[in-house]
Amino acid sequence: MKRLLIIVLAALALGAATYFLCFRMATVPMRQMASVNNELVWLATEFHLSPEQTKRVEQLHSAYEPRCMTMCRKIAENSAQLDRLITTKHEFTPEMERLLRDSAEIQIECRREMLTHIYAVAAVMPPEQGARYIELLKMQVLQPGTPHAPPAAGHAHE
Amino acid sequence: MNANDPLRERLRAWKVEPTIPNRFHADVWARIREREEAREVTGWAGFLSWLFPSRTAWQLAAVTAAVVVAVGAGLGNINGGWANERSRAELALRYAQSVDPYLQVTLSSAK
Repeated sequence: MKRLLIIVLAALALGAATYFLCFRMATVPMRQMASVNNELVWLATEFHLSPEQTKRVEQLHSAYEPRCMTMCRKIAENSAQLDRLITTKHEFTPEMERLLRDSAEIQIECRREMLTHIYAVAAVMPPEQGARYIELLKMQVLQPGTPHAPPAAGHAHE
Repeated sequence: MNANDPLRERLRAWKVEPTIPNRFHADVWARIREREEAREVTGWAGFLSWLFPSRTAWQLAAVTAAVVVAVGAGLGNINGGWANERSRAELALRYAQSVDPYLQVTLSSAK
């Protein structure tokens, strides 16, 4: 009985050690990528970008970032004002109407800027990768503000 | 010593023709084996011979180890693939957040 217990425990330990080792080895590249706090590292790996293409995308991203921050600020300000009005007023007011129109304008501006940036980045990539990149970010333009799942990895490496 | 010593002559003429028993070699090896088996095995070797007392037990242990390693490696790789897919989705979201100002506002206000 004691012998059987030792054999079972040894088999479980061996299985667990193998599982752990294989899991760690299989996830090494992704963990290394996630540990780098730079989303462009992921982009370069996911879309197989060359160093030159990566550099060009970084430039585009740097140019887009301040515009994106400005839009963020506009969205936050508009939302905060609307939030305050909805809380303090008890009926629909012309000011609310103006803020809603501003909100729609901001959304048009955001989506336009986003789409322009996405097309610019896609143009740097090889055609099939660019198409895949647009596919990945299409939902972000159609439904901004919502996290969307990326297409399956199998499709990603065709 | 005299060269014509009769003892020397007799020694020179003496011939020995030993006869080896039929099972001599087999008996020697049998005795060696008996001695080795009688010797008490200690340490790891002793533990392993206690754990797997026969050749069949060794074979079963080897097959079990191979199966356990294969199952562990398979599950590790499958789960690793799923974990990679989750990480990929997180990284894609992180990138989308850097592009979509609405997502930045949504996620920063959710924190």
